[in-house]
Amino acid sequence: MRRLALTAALAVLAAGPVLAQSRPPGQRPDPTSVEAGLWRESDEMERGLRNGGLVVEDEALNAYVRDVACRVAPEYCEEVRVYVTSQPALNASVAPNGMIDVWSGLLLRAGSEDELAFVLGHELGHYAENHTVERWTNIKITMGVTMVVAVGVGVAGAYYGVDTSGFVDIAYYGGLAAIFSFSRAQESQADEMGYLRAVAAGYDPNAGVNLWTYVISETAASDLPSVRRQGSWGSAFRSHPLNVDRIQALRALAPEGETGGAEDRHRAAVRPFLGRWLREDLRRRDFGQTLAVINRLQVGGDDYGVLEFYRGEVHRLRRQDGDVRQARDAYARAVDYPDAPADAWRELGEMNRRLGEHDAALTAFQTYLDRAPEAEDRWLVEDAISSLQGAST
Amino acid sequence: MFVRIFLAAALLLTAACTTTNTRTAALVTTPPAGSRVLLVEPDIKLNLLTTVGLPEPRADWSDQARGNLNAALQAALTERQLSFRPIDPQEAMGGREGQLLRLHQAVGTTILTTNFGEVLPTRAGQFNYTLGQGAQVLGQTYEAGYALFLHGSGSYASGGRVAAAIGLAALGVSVPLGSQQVFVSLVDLNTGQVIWFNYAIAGPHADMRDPNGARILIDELLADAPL
Repeated sequence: MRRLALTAALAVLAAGPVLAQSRPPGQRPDPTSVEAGLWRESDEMERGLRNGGLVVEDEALNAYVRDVACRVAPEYCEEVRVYVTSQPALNASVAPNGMIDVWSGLLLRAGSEDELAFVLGHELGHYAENHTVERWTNIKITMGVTMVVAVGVGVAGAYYGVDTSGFVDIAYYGGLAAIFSFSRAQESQADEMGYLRAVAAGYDPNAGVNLWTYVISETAASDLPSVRRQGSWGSAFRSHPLNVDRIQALRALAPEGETGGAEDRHRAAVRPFLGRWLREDLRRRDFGQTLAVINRLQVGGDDYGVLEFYRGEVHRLRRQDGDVRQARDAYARAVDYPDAPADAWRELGEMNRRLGEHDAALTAFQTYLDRAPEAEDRWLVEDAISSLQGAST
Repeated sequence: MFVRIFLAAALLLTAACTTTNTRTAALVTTPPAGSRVLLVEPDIKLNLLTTVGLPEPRADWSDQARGNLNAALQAALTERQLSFRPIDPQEAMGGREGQLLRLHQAVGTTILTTNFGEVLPTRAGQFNYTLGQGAQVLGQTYEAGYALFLHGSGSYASGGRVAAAIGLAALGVSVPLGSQQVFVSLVDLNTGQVIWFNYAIAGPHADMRDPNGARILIDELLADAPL
């Protein structure tokens, strides 16, 4: 009895991925196929995406992201649609109909064009290998095997008068684990294809390793213990492999010591959006992670005014011990750079006011009004100035 | 054993015919003859219910059903001497009109979840939904007094699924087979009010993938419509 159930559960687990041929460019599904059905669902999702208000319409940004996608997959350039959507986490996805959704949180975190190329190569790898259809077939087969096993075990139990519900559960968990294991195998395959595509297009072979290394550090920097644990807990019920394993697999591919990479257009492309996307990232209220993002963006030394302003914002919003002072110091550093937004002066004034440094507060508030004479909150700042002046006389 | 299998099979084959469940707003005036109805192309999503119970989207069935139901609706409106203006929502999803079409989708789904099945206590015994006065935009753009919407979804069991159902019925396990649900709503484009709403579970004789089945389903759906 026990042997029967365990053998069956193992049989369910053993159903691994079958590698299919890459899809020929321009191929459309047979209308009666599963693929056609999945395409139709994706078409609907795509219409929803287009009408849903998340899409970032900026022409230059879209042209840049699309161009990187076309470099890593020239053969599919004509048939895929690339959308940039305003979503503050590192993610991108591809649908079976060729819709690619690149989250703003990925563009904000990618350290270079090479890293974006690696991710787009990964997504286009899923597309080229028809992974959604493959996964669908795998789920169907796995569920079939699981059902047969569960019914068999249940019937045997009824026949011998033994409670076999535990073994039925094992069969179902085994089935579920097999589905996730298949998904992880697909992700590993897509990583490999992303690597090969990006390198073939002349991008840095270390880009994938660099990106996942950063992701591990951001996960570790989270304020939330549950998020921090995600980075290290392997589980049979994960859709993606652990990042440490992904790094190891990519290291094995990359030739020792070789670096490369095209001229980097990434920062120039995302620069106009830095402020907006950092503000969106702050809405997640995971301040440790936002600080990790800011630290990464500061590595090259660009955009200090904007980045230090948002570092100040992190501390202003976090409101833990010492945050007022840290916020003030960050705003004070920000205003030394020409790209600091005018708001940095207002917040510098406010933090100095809270710290009791009234003269510095007055100067900062006054500078804010000089720099943003039409500001909507002018009256508020004027009021703060007059009460500070009242307090000091 | 054979008796049980036979009974199970017989039960499956004599499944109930189409059941409809109507909601009508208070104080409805029937559209006067010659009124123009905006006929929004039906939104249909059909699946194949595989042996293991995984619904597999079938674009070809959805397309067939959409075409059949659209033709059946047009025939039904013509019989009632109403003129109509068909529109394809895929092409009309932009602008204010598109927003109203999506608003109707949201309102229709709300009606289904609050007025059918487990009826919300605050909704019991009343039917009062509207798209708002803004719906006039639709009426003006398409020169129509009313709009008729139809949404359908569901699945048809595969041969393997039916076999599994019969086999497992002998073991005393019940396996659900496919079913298809349709809801239709009539909106007064002058006030935006949803004046009539009907929800149906299609019977086996009303297979919307087939032109005749679609015609039967539409006739049953519209039987007590104020049209």
